[in-house]
Parts: sequence; structure tokens; C-alpha cells
Amino acid sequence: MSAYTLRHYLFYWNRLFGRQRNSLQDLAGYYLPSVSIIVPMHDEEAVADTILELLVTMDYPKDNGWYEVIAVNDGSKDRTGIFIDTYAERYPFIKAIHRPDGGRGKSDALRVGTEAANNEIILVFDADYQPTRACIKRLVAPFRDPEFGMVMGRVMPINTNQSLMTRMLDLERSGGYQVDQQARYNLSLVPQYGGTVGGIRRQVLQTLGGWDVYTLAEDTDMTMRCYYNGWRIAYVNVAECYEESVLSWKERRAQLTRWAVGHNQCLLSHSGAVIKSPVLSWFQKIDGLLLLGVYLVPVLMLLGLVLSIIIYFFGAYWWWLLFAALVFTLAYNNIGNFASFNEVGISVVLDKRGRVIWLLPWSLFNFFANVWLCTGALIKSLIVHGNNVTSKANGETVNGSVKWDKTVKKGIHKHNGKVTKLPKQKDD
Amino acid sequence: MMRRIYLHRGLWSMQPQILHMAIGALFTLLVALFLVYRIELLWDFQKTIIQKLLAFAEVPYRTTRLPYVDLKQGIPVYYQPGGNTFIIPVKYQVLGPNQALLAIAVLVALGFVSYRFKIVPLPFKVLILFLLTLIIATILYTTFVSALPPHTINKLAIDWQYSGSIILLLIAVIFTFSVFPVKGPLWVKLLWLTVAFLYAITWNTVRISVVLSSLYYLGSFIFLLAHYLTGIYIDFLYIVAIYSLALAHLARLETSEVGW
Amino acid sequence: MFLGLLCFVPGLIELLRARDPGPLSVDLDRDIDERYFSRAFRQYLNRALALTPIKSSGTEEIAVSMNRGLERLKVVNEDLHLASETHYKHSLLIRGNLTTENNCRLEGEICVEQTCITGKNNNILALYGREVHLGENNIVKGWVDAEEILEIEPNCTIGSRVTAGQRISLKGDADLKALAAPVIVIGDDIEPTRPFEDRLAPPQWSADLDRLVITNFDTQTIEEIGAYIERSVGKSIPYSNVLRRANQLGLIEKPLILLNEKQRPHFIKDKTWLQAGDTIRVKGDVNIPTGERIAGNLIVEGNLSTEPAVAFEGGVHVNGSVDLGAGAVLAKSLVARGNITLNEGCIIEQCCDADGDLYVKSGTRVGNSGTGGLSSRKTVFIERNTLIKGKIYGENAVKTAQKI
Repeated sequence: MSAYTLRHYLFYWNRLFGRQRNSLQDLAGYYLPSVSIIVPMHDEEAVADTILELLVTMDYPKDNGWYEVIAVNDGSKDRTGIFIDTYAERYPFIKAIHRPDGGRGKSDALRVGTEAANNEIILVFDADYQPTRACIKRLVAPFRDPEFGMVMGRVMPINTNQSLMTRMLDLERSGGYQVDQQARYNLSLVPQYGGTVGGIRRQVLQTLGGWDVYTLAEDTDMTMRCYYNGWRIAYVNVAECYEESVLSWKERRAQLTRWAVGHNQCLLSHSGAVIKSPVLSWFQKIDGLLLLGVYLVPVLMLLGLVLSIIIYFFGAYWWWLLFAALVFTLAYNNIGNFASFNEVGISVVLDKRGRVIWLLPWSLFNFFANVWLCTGALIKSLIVHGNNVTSKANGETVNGSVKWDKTVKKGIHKHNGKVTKLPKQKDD
Repeated sequence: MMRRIYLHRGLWSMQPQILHMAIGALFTLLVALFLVYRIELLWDFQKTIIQKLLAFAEVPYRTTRLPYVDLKQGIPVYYQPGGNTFIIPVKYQVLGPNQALLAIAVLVALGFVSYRFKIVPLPFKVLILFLLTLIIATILYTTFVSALPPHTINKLAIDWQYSGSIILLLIAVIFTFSVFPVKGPLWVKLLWLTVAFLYAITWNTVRISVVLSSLYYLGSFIFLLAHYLTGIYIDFLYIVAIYSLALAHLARLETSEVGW
Repeated sequence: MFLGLLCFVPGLIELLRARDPGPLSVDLDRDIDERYFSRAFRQYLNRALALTPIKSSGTEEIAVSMNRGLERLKVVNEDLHLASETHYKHSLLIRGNLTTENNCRLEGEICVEQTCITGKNNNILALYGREVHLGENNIVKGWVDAEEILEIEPNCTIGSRVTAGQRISLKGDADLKALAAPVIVIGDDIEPTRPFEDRLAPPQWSADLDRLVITNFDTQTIEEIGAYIERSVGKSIPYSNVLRRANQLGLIEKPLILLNEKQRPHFIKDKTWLQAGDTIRVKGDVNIPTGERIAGNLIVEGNLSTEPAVAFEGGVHVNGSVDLGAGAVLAKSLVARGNITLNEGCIIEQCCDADGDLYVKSGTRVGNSGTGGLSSRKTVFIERNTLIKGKIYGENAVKTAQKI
């Protein structure tokens, strides 16, 4: 826990006052490799047109197959497929892939999309994302450095004012990207590829054996495999992209559980390889392990709370010991726990925002939810990991425990009203 | 005249205000020296207020001073001998084993219902479960272990007076590293540091008074809960709140660079 | 209780009477445009003129709303010649050509729809023209942009972006910040020294050659295999190409393998790994001898130096400094955390990025078809007779000189 505290303060100091690496953005737009963009979609009719329209208007050379969009309709039951087909008919660089028997999870959809991709760089966007026009140019810029195998851009919620939840997530995202990811990139540690608004060099993906369809967090899985095999992950803080945040605790529960289980799977699968990696420094290895263990922190905090109750009733009460313990507990409780709040705080300063930070104490409610969900996720991940080991050992190609655990998108915020609307079907 | 331009938020950082940080560090040092050498002043002041509050709440009490604790015992931090503490008559409450088990069963059922109740947001469900756990632990302790609280009550006040004093040092440290280096005028930082100090002292004084009163009026059971819940964890809350006000203030005053 | 709940009150106020509720503002339509300042200025002009009717001939002075507020704009519907020591405080829109003599001081932005030729020692805020010729010792505080061609005489200082739609020519020493154009010539035009493709033509692997690699890969060094291939079929194959082919043939299976002494080229002494079959990672300094050819990418965790005429088929990343020998050819990009020196006649097909200073010697060519460029987080020093197709950016400055 103290390691996480130190890490948070290091990140805060580095991001606010350190020299910022700009992920080779000085020459963004002057390096234009061929790009394949995969958009996995599963029941995305509310948002499909927005993302496709934005990818159509993207500022990137689109001739001769240099730019292709691969929209994977993965077992959708709604009109997602019609949207995709309409765009594919209209624009030659959009490829439609329909998988009526799909629906086995995002990583499986990505695997299929990757098989259809022809270009050097593979980027991934979720269907509810809204990238800026320059986003692709900015995301591909770091790939001119052969050391970078993956890239990640900045995610920003668009529907911030819809509920307390969305406002909390807005703050969480700010701290996570503006401070945490950028600082990790500055310090040559491990910025995490988040599964969307990012991508990978096609050759690296092939060498590493493609997306792991057994995991719930194919993003963390690929990040770690890249990392300990010698590639760095670039974080491009200026490649900004809106996302639609979840609105209810029910959706948040499903989302966070998925992330936590997937992350914990990666912890179980990759910790050894991180420690053994010959191309990572000790500092990098420690950061890799801390990143992998990040969803264990709320569990440890729950343990801490339980222990505090036990100690409260049965602990030693020699008062000099109490005093020494008091100093440490107070120091950790305030300075330690404060570290992550501090990150969020300065992210607001860096983003030149103001009063939104008044909501910071309300993040404690998020904390309570995280403690609960991450504890449940830890138990679930142990079961899932066991199942996966068995499935892999049996040579099964499809993992039954991995499926789309969908966050339903509302498509409330359309981009400048420019999206193409399909005529309503007769049976609508 | 140049045009005002804004550096992209993704790329800019700021120079740490080292002078402000040094002032913060100096302030922290002064607080530390005060805590080591002149802490009685604060405690005497707190005692005066607490006495008034207890008198207002009609809680009978007497004050005493705890004995000196030497440096060796006080490792790692030296602290001053004794402090004011309050001794009050205590009402001990004990449930019978059957009553306790029944109460626990009701609480467990309550926890289950609240967890299944869709209208309750998840964080509140978790909070309720945590509170129920604490209540159950308290029932189990008072019923099956001891009717007496696990620590002597007369040490409560001194315990919290210490924590209420140490927190001043921690606030100074937090502000020195997290607020003072941030770009912005010094007066804003000093203003919010002062607010944090005042809040900490007020909070600590009120906390002792309220928990002592709850012990007198509501008995040891509620005291155990109140003592735990308003313990050291709550300080964090107001530190974050005041920190957020300070940063919002600084962010508002932030100016941009000028140029073509 | 009250004091505890009080901590949530500021947040509650922001929730109920939100002052900062929206998402971070992002202009989804904004693209990367090096000529942004110039375009923004002309957009202001167009918007202002659309609202203010003006004469179609002669000269007129009008008040227009610009980015700084209301200000004076002089509209000249014909050619304009400014005598020495002329001092203008407001902006100028010239429909014809503009010529200035020496020591003019123009404190507003200037938009010239035809050609602009300035004399010596002019002091200008910002300048746009179809064709622009900046005289000696001009100081431009802001940007300079030409729709087609921009020529800059020696000893000019320009504080912001220097851009052109077609070509920028720097005749002599200059102190700049950033330049962008499909063609940027410093000094005189240079001829490509030798056909780039010839030097980096990939080897044609036949079934026989593959068999040679498969049979000998475990028993011989890659240099021996290379020599063997040369003896057998008369083709010179670079060592790293043998390694790459071995990977393609499935002889190297893991994504990251430590190369033994047999597998790594003789000039690499430190620990070396092969990543993804096409990237060599070296933990230490590397000095590449004359005429070597490196297939795939190269990552050097120390410093990199090369002797003349080395060719790289892929990109290069260096944690330390780079000294690229004369006539080196690099098919992709070069990125270094330290300083980079590109000696005489180097060719870099894509980009070159240094965290330290970047020294570019004469005869160097960087970029291809408007994509490519040089960037430094410190200063870019460029000798005359270099050709950059794309962009040059120095966070501190871009300085050109006869000799650096």
C-alpha cells in the first residue's frame, strides 16, 4: 500500500512539475503509416452512426487502402448491421464484417477484425467513442519510433452532467489519464493500453500471438505482453476522444467487475513474466507489478477496515504503543489515502477547470463501491482463471466464461448533429 | 500586442513554486516545534472549550492529567508529558446472549434486504453493510467478551487530543507538498491552510465533547460505535474537502501564456 | 455529524447549481494545421470585411473587429510600396503586391494577396502573402506564411511558425522556431547523392537460400551463413537479414530471444535481443563499421555511432546520443533521447526526433513527399545545402549556419 502511495506522489510531482514527453507529437501528421481501425460492435445502434461518421471525416489519407475501417458486427440483435452496411456501401474504405454467431466477447471480435486488417498499424475504437479529427494522426505518430509497440490516447467522458456517477467518473478519468498515464509515460514506465483509442503495431500483435480470447481484459493482457517483451507503450495525451460514461450503478458494477476480473487474470498470468523480463529495469518491473495489482488495493483496504475493527476491540492498548501506532495510522490514513485524491485534484488544475473539484469528497462513495466490487471480482477472477487454464489445456478455441458483458450505450450526445440518420424501418 | 494562446492541456506543466513550498516547509517546522514544546497551550484551550460544551450538555465530569511518558516510550515521536483528560460516570450496557443473537439475526436480515433493495445505490449498500458489521462486532464484544470497552475511557480524550494535534502537522505536510508548489498566489494557499487548521481544531474539540456526551447519555454501546466511526478516519474527509476548495481557487486564478 | 456532512456541502452546491458541469471542451473538427495562425488571421479578416462594405479601388482605412477587439485596418486595392523608415501601427490588407524598403516597422499583421518583398532590417509582427521574399536582417515577431513560395534572406529572426504551401528557401543564417512546407531548402538545392532504393533493395530469398539458412542456422554464425550465401549465389546478404529470414522461416519462435555470439553481428559486443524477428535491441553502445547494412529496426540502449555509408532498412531508436556517419541511409525514422548528429550526405526517409540537440550537416536530405521532418526538444542546428521535405521544429530554436 505504501508503494502505491509513493507511486501516486511521484506521478503527481512528475506530471505537474516534470518535463513532459510529448510522444513525438512535434511531427504529428508528418508520419502517416497505413492504418486499419477496428470497431467491434455488439448491439450499438444508438451510437454506431456517430463513430462511423467521425471515422469517415477523419483527417488522414484514405486512398489505396492506406486507411481502412473494419466494423465488426458481433452478434448484434438490433440494427447495428444495417448501419454498418450503409456506410460500407457508401465508403470503399469501410469493411463490414457480420458474425451472426458472434457475441463471445470483445477480444474475439477483435481477433476477427484483425484477421481482416491489412495495414501496418491497428487501432481500436469502441462504438461509443468520438475521436477528434486529428486523433489518428496523433495516435500513429509515436509508431515511427521502433521501440513503441502500442499507443493509447486520452479518454474523456462526454455525458458528465447526467448524474453524480458521471461526474465522479469524469474526475476519475481526469486523474487517471491526465496525471497517471502521462506520468507513467514520462517516467518510461507502463502506460496502459485501455482497449480503445489506441492500437498496436500489426507485426507486434502477430508476433505475440494475437488477442487473447480467454481474457476479459485483452487490453491489459496485450499491454503486459508487449511490455515484458521489450516494446514500450506510448501515451498520447493530446489524442483526445470522448466516451459515453455509464449512468447507473448497475452498469458500473458490470463494467468495473469486468475490468477487475480481467486485470486480476492478467496479474495471475503475467506477474512471473514481468519479474523475469530481461529487458525491464527493476523500477519498470515494480511499476508493472503495481499496475497488475491495482484492483487488489480496494480489497486490501477492506481487509484494513476489518482488521481495524478487530484491533479496536482486541488490540493491545499499551498507550505508548497506541501512540506510535496512532502516528503511523494517522499519517498513512491521511497522507497515504490522500495521494490518489491529489492526482485527481491536480488533473483539474492541468485541465484548467474549476469548481468541479468541489465534488472530490464525494469520490469516497465511489471508493466504497470499489471496495465491494473489487473484492467480489477477486473471487470471480480466481474461478475464471482456473477455468481458462483448463480450457487452454484442453485446446478449446472458445472460452465459455468470456462473453460480451455489455454496457448499454444511449447515444445521447451526437457529434455536432452531423451524423447520418438511417430511415426508420417499417416495423419501427 | 500579442494574442492570448492556450498551450494544449495535454502538454503543459508548471514550474513548482519553490519559494512557496519553502514557506510551507517552514510553517510545517513551526507547527512541529509547537507540537513538541508548546502543545499544552492548544490542549488547555481545547479543555476550556470542551468544559463549556460538557457543561452545556449537562454532562458531569472531572479533569485530570495523564502521567509523563518518556522519550523511549514515545518513540518514534517525542511528546509532552500528560494532557488534560476527562473522567465521566459511565452507563454500561450488556445484552443477554439470546437477545444478542436475535439482534444479530435481525441485523443480518436487514443487511440482506438493503443489499437486495434496488433503490439503494451501491455505495450506500456497502456503507450499510459496513455499519452493520461494526454493530454486530460491538454486540458480540459487549455480550461475549466484556461489558467494559476495550480501553479505559479516561484515555480516550488524551488519545484524541494527541491525534487532533498530530493532524495539524499532517495537514501542514500535505499542503506543503500538494498545494504550496502549485502555481498561484501565496495568500490563497495560506488562507486555505488556516481554514484547514481551524477546521481541524474545531472538529477535534467537538468530537471529544460529542463522544463523551454520547457515553454519558447513551451508554457504552453507542460510545463504542461513535468512538470508532468518528475516529481517525474522518479527518481525511475535511482535509480533502478543504484541499479541493483550495485547488479550485488556484485553478480559477491560473492565467495563460501570451504569444502568437 | 454536522462538521462531517459539511465536507460534502461544496460538492452538493456544485451538483445542484453546477458551474462546471460540462465535459472538457474538445473541438472534434480541429485538425493538425501548421498554417493555423495565418488561416485564423485571414478568417478574421474575411469575417470583418464581410460585415464592413469597402471600396473596390484605392485605399481605405476602416475599423474592424479582430481577435484583439476593434482595431484599424488599412485596405489597399492596388500595389503598395513603403519607403524606408515607414512605421505602421495597424494591420494591412493589400490586394496587389507589397514592397518595402529598409528599416520599416509594421506593428500589425499584414496580408498580401500577391507578392511581398521586404527590404533589409524590417520589423514585422506577422506576414502572409502568395509569394513572400523576406529581406536580410528582418525580424518577425509572429508567423510568416506564403501560399506558394517563401524565400528568406540571411540573418532573419522569426519568432513563430514559418510556413509555405509549396517551398521555403533559406538563403543563409537564420534564427527560427518551426518551419513547415513540402520542400524546405537551406542554402542551395542539393541533388540526391545516390539512388536510395538501390542501397536498400530487399534481398530476394529463393528456396535454395532458405535451405542454406535452415541447414546452417543452428551450427554457424550468421556472418558465416552470409558469407556462405555470398559464395554460393554471389549475393551479399546483411547479417541482420539472415536473422530476419530465420525468424520468417520459424527458426526463432519466441517474441524476445537473447542472441548468442554466433547470432549477433561481430560489431555488437553487448547483450543483444531479437524482438518480433525484425528488431534488434542492444544493451550498450554500438559502433557500426563502414558500409554495413542493418535489416529491420534497431534499438540501442546506449549510444550509437556509425562510420560512413551505413544503411538501415528499418527505424532506429537510441537511448543515448547518435552520430550518423557521412552518407548514411535510413529507410524509416530515427529517434534518440540524446543529441543527434547527421553528418554530410545522410538520407533519412521519414522523421528524425531528438530529445537533445540536433545537428544536421550539409548535403543531408530528410523526408519524402512532404512527410518527414526534424524535431528537437532543444535546438536544431542546420548547415546550408540541406533539404527537408516536411517540417523542422526546435523547441528552443532552429538555427541555420554555413558551418555548425
